[in-house]
Amino acid sequence: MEAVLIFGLDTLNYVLTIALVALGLVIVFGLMRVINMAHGEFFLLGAYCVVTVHGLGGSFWLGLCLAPIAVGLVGLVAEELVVRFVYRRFLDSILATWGLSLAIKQAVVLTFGPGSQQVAPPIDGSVLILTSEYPIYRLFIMAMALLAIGFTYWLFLRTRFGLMARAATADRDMAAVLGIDTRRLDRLTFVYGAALAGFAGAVIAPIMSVDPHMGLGFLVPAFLAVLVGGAGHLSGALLGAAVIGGTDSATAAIWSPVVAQIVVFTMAVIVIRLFPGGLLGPRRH
Amino acid sequence: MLDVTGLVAGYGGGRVLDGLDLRLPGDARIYGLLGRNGMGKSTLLKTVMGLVPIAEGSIRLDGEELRGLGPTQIARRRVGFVPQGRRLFGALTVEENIRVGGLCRQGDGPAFEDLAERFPVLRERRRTPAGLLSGGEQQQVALARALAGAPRLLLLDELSEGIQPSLVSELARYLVEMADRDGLHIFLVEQNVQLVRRVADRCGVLEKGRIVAEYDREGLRAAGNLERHLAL
Repeated sequence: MEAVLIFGLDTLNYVLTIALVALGLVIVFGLMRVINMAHGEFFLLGAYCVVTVHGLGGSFWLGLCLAPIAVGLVGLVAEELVVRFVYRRFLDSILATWGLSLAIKQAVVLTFGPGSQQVAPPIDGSVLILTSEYPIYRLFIMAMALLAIGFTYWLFLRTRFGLMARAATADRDMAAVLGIDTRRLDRLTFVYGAALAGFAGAVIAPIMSVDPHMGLGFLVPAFLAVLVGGAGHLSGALLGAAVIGGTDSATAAIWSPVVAQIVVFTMAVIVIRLFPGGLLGPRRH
Repeated sequence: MLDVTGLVAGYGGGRVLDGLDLRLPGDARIYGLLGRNGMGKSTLLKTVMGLVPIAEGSIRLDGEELRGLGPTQIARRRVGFVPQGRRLFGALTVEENIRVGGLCRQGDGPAFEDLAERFPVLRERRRTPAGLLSGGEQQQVALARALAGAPRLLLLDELSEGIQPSLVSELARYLVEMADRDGLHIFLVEQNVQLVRRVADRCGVLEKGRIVAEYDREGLRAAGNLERHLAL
């Protein structure tokens, strides 16, 4: 019973982290029709932001606060210099953002070296769940992820910015014809997606080894989550993250991480075959 | 109000509008533009809105050149547009559609409740996704969404398309009321001759990208067979 509970908490932790990364992907894809291959590197930069602040003698908490701001600024520069030229050009956007991802990764290697780095968890200790100990920091990660997801929902469903973004996602020309500055909206949305990934990378850094390839480990399941859940809306990313993360964790616990990868990819292919628009996407008639 | 001079515009280098001249005078509250399919009516409205680039010529709104401006900038000069097919945001509720229409309003404009007085469907279907409404209901929401931006010029593309004939007289009433009550100018592109006859102060006929005939109010009433302009 306890093992199941601990497994459930670990799975939830993984699912919520994937959901944070997937939300950023969905937001950018929904508005700009850009598949952002550099999204994993924004996640990576968030983790390295914490490493840098920590190395300079600052606290983890300062790094956590600075990460979304710093990565958001990187996103702003990337959007202005590269991404805005490939909006709604599907293949071009994949190539351009892939190039961007390589450039960021190599810049990280040049700056920090190819090896991995460690960040000590800022909160020590654990809580007793039934008779097992569970690290408090892992519960903190879940709380932060839920907070960020909640904030994203509030931003897109309850604010003026969100209303404009949803209108532009539905019909870009019509939104412009009603006076909405879609260029500014693109820029802000891309920056928010990058900041969200940066925050996810920063918050998870203390429980992972931070290295230049860590972004890919979250980008791939996040992409699968978006495809499985449906690329058109926020809830699709959450459902997809639950399906992909849950399957991955359960299979890895029962068999092995290698079998888990095979099962997850096979399941994703089957779901996409049966529901081309994702589980929450439009149905074929 | 609106002066179009020597306008050439089209898609991929083609000339859908070929040297079009048109003047919407300030005293004509409603201008009707008739023409068969493919003559360039919708292209003209999209060009005025900045959705199709101008190759040659100019479009002036109250003396200000619109050439080179994008749709956002033109909309912020208080030009409203209801395109063919209405293009409501289907997943957004009726209320959200109206709110989007008023988000970038320059100056004062009607509140949701004011619009709901005139278009009852707004109140009745307030929380319904706009994509689930009937054609007639969508027409009202599209008009209300455009009015929420408090336009001084409203461009309407085939507003009567897809709604039952019995609702056309109601539509005519809305248009005249909008022009009188809101003090705005309406540029109405139509294939429904009866609707244009009923509401327009001035009417032009578009053929092959040019205006080939124009009628003032009296001429419009007196003209016997306007339908010939729409015959194939």
